[in-house]
Amino acid sequence: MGSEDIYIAGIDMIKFGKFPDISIATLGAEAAHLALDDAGITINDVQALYSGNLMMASAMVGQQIQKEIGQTGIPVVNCANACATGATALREGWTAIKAGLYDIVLAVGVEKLAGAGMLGGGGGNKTGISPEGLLGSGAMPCVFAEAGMAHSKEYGTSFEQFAQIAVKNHHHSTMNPKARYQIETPLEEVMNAEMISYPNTKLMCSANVDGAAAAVLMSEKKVKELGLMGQAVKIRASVLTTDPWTDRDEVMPDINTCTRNAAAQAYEMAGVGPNDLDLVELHDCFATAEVLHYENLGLCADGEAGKLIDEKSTWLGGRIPVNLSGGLLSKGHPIGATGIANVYEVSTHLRGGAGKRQAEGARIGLAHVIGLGTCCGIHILEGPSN
Amino acid sequence: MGLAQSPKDDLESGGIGQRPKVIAQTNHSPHVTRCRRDDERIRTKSRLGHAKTATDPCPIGVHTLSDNSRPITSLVQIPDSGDPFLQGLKCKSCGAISLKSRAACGKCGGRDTNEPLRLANKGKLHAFSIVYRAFPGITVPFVSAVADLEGGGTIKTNLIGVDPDPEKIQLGMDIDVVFQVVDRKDSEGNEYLGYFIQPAA
Repeated sequence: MGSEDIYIAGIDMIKFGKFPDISIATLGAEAAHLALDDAGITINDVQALYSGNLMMASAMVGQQIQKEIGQTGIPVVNCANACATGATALREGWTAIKAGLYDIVLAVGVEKLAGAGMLGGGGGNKTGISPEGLLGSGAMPCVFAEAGMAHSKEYGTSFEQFAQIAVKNHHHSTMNPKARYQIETPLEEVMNAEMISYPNTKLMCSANVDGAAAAVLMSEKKVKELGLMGQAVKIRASVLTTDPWTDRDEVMPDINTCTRNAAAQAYEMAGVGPNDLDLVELHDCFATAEVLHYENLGLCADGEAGKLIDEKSTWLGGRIPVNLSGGLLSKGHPIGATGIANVYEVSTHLRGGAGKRQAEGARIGLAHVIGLGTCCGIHILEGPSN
Repeated sequence: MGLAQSPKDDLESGGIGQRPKVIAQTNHSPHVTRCRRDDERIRTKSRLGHAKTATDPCPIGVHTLSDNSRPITSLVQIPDSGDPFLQGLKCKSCGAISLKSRAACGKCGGRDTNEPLRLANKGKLHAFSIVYRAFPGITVPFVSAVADLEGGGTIKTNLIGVDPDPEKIQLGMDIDVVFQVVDRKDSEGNEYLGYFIQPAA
């Protein structure tokens, strides 16, 4: 592996929302142009394109985007990796530069998910009957509720503590103009919202939205050549893991072990520890999940996630602010875009441009996603030194 | 904004979508069990020794087990005589217990190392969720649950025999595995034998 550092020289996202009349290619192209503009380059400078999209994985979305922004004949790789799709596309680009193949690549993540409905659990046996609702539920709100309840069993985590995650993330989103929603949701409103799958109420579930995000990755040599060191965010670690064998994994997708493994690898690669982080964007697909990842990422000791919530340590201004973007709960979760959008959020703070939600003096941040099935992507980023 | 008007009412959220509203509609309070058959006695053949014989708060739907009942998944074994049981696999190399056949052991990668293993009918509740919003045609609420079985193996199924109320479901409690014919047939009209868990007798 090359020793040269790789940087995010330009990154951006569109405001997440519902865009029934705009094609997926147009959404992706919009994000791509924003990122190219941020880096001050054009599509003619890009040597390879890595596209992340899940729901239309067979539709050559990367090439569709390319036809919008310029058919330069460069390699295009289409990535699908559940909710880690965007992070995977970004990492594939990182890998290619690391291998010495290219100096400039573009990673785009895009998804049209508005109105998609409840995901997971809709399938069933190839023959016979669907077991959904008989052998429990494979729907995502339930799967992540059960993961949360396993934490409750161990540590007594309460419905109210889970609900506080949604209060926090919705609060943070009121300061993020690119979030799908910017609405305060007090605790009683979260707890009294429609119960979807106990303990996850509607306001504790991520928002299915349309969205796109893109990043320009460059070798250190190219960043210096183009004079972009003042804005470039260094990728200190890029890690992808899957779920290793665990005893319950067949019936209860293990989002914990793959995150713990990825975190350990990422901290080692970056040469930092959780105490060095100034902010974290983690995969709050459901409020219950965020609680688990506090411990999985080492933001607190095992069993202390509830305390972290009670002490508001993960709010803006707290010891380790988490999901300042509003997270998937309120910013929204356009699957293929999510893993680049959270890198955008961390990068924006590291560049000091996050406005009212700015993590003060942020220098190092972590972005985390989980894709059920299962995989985990983690990026640790360091801001420009000036 | 009042509680009745969720800020996300226009949403799609949650992995949640527009369509499920239909099935979530009910005149009952969310904590009241809805069950089409709650006035029925559970009828089973004697070979279903583990099935309940009392009125169940939420029988998933119970019919007489006919000779052509099929296992709901490959986990269910229906012997010619005796009670149905769950059969998983155990790797004779590393000891990992799995629920379905694989090309090799998921833990150690060993080939041809998996041997059938009869799973216990007793265990402990590891996790649950009470599902209120489901896909069309699925009766809610129901309790989705994960249980660790004695001697190994973890299963996921509906927890029955309890009110779908978090106050009444104890994490870690002892459970029994029971077998019931489910209230859902395939397109050819075949019936299926399912497995469920309930608080230990």
